[in-house]
Amino acid sequence: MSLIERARAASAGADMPTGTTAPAQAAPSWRISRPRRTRKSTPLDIATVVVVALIVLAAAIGPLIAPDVHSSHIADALLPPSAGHWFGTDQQGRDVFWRVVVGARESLTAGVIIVIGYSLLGLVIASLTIVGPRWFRELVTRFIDLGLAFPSLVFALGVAAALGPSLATACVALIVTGWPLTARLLQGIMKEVVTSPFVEGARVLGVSRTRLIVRHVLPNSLPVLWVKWAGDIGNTVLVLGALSFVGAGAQPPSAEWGAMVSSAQSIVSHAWWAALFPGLAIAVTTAAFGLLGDLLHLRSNPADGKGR
Amino acid sequence: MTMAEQALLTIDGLAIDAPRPDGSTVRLVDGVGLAVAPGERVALVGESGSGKSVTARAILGLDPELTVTGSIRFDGRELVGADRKTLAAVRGRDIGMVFQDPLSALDPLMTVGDQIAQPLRARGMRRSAALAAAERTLGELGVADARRRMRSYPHEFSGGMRQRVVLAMALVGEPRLLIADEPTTALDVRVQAQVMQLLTDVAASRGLAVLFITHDVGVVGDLADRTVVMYSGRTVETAPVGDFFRRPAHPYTRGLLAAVPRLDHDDRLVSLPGAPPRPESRPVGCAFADRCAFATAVCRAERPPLRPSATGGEVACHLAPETIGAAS
Amino acid sequence: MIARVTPVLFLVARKLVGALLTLFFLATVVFFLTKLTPGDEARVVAGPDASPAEVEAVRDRLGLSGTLLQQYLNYLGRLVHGDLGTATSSQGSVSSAVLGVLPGTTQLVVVALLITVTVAVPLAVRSAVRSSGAGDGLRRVLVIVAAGMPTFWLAIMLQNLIASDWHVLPISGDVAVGIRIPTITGFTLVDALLGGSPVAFWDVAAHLVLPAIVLAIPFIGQLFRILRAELMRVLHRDHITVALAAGVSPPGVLWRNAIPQIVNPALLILGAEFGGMFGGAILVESVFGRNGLGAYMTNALAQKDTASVLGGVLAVGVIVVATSLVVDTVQIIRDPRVRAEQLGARG
Repeated sequence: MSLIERARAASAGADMPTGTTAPAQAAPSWRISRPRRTRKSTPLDIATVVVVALIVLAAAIGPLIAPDVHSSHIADALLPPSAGHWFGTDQQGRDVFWRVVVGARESLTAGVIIVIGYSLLGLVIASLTIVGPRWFRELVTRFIDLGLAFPSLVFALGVAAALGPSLATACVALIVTGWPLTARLLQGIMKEVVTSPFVEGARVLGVSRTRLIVRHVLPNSLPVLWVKWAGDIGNTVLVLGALSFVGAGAQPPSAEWGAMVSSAQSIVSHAWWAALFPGLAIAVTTAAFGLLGDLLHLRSNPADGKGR
Repeated sequence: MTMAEQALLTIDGLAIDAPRPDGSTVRLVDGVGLAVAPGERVALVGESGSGKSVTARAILGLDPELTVTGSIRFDGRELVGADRKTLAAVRGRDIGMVFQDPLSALDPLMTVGDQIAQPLRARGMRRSAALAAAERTLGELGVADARRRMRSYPHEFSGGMRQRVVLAMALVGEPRLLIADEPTTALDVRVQAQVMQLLTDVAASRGLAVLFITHDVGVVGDLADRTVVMYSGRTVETAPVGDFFRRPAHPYTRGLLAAVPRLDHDDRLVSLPGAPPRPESRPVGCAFADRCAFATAVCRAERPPLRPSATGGEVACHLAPETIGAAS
Repeated sequence: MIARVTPVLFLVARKLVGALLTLFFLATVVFFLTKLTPGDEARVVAGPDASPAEVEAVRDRLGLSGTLLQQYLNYLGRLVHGDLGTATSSQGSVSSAVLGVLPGTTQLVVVALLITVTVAVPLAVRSAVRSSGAGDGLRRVLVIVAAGMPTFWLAIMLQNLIASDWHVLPISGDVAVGIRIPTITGFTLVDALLGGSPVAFWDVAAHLVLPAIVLAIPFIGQLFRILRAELMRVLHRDHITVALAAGVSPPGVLWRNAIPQIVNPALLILGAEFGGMFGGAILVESVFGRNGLGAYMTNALAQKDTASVLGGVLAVGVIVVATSLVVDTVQIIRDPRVRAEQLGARG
């Protein structure tokens, strides 16, 4: 066969007689195709879900079923762990176990609020990367890059100083510093969507950017966002705890875990339990939610499981 | 009729299994055989998923996670299950390999010259000598001012130029067999023609044996002496190139050739209905039976063995040459 | 035009402009934070017995008089001169205080970064090469647990253990009482060496060990995970197969063809971690009783010294932006493709 014939064959697209495959159903919105395969649940997965469920349970009903954790019983101060007090008591005589359980609610609700807050903020800022002139879009991108690098803890200290330290101001600070990661993620998806041929066609027809975002970007982002949110809640609880520890978040006598660790710091040498268990609660919560996020990720991308 | 005794490369009963995430295996190549004589140019033809690339890569053992059984003999040495030393001795020296996408095949952070010199340096040659050899090889491939161009980086070159670099890397060790895995697929048509010409010239001037993997039937005519057709992991036909085009024996081969549009006819494009079976559900009998116009019960029940065909090659079809020849 | 003559300079200049704009934005945010503080700062500084005139004088001095816009411009003007304001409590210059404590924290962060690289890189390489198989589940868990470790808590527990059971390393302070270190660069490790006292050097180092390790732990997990994923991605690229097919030995391929590809991502991550570590350093300094920016800021917070805290925030902002700039510049210089990509079609 000569070159010309081959050229014609190439342009006609007749490569191999593989027969026609049925055209894909016209989907209501364009999907970034991902392979779908399920993965078997391991014992670790089950354990993770159980732990997360327990934590959520503690947050939901903990304060309702717990005995009084706020008033002091100096007589019972600094008792080591025992049958009566599973985690011992602190210097005010309060039962550490129940304080830890009650503290779950503060940490978790704050965590959820913060994650929702910065996700919305991240969405708005990410949307800015597809509107406006090029220099503007590049500026926003650069802004996101730098926002990513700035430590939220430091800024949160600043906000706490300005507005007075409390769990609420910590939430504000973390929302203001938490958006870059979400923005970066959404920016990537938006770019993919906006440059896809399907969407370019729609744009020619005059589809507005808002519609694009709602109908195309959001559905495509949700799978990734779920994964991120799970891990984020854990991480946020961690940072909140750190903030409370340095005095920029929840203040004592709050049962917030970081604040508990902070108050117990001075007595740790003879009452290690008062510092150990609240901190352990933070570590376990962060790890459990992190593993949950990882597990969600593996469920939709089992291929990653092989090479992890 | 096979040149088994003098063959440079002999593949016999090759089966390749791939592991799956859930622990089971899937058979990608299911009993393939072919031979390449010194200086002979063989085209391995098949569509995507036929297992041709996997077969070629298995010659050099490039995919350690795959389980390879059967025999691949090069110059009398068995390569299946060979130890690292044997493989290292063969790679880049006796056998050179060229891959599909020249841009991704090149290391973006290394100069072109250093990359071409890699096979030689891997054997301990000094850098200056290796670079000199690289320069010579590039010159042989028609690159002007090779010494200066060797100092550039891959992304500064055009597709055709990059393919020359990749080719140089395969040839610099003076191999006796060149394996080319779809070397023109990623190039545009004009460049394809150039590269094909290059390959043909080099193969001729060096007396190289070439195993050429492609799904583009048109390319076969330029270069090959013999063709081997694969379908769903199995060999279905081998034939000298002339017979391949004029008297295809296997129904699949006929379908392949019928699908290619021709300048001298104005027929409608023909295509075969259906699609190749997935490796996990490869039928017990002939893999092509579901799409074959001539399939019989025997075809579906028993896998046809590869037998000598009427035209001097081999074909794996229960019905050849009787029904096929009559119904053309 | 300019771009063709000196592409590197042009690109770096562009990054610089972006950096300055971000700093400007940060400064604006901080300014608004100062305005949000309840109470009249001028009155607090002047004291409860001051006359109105005196309070006004103080207000002027602190740049708090005039309209919001005037105050803003005044504020920006002072910032450009490096004046971060006056500490509410001590009346001292925030800038000099911050500069005084910065070396201590920077030293801690640098040592922690070194530890991170030394531990994470070999582990990541080994793990990527082995890839698959057993230990996968375990590794996943370990990395996630390490990343989620509350460092302040770990620090306290470790401190407790070492204090009571193993008397190996010092658990608090920067340096033992009685050891004098000359102030040459402000970095005690370096000064100890320059001052010619090995004893002092080892003492400073010993005091750095625990805090640096604790600071490094979450970052080790992060770096390990990302490097491993990157390296595995690289190992699957075509040019690795080509090199193998060309006869290069597998270790050779690893070190000459694969690992150079991950240096750039590694630098990017390290740059980001450098900034993040300043946040972690606050916690670590607090637990280990060390001097540094973290301790300075948390103390200021406790004393409701807003100006000092925000001065610290700005200082960290400058560090983060500067680091980011350096990393970007190194990338532009190192990788010709980055240059081409950023100069050419974007967006």
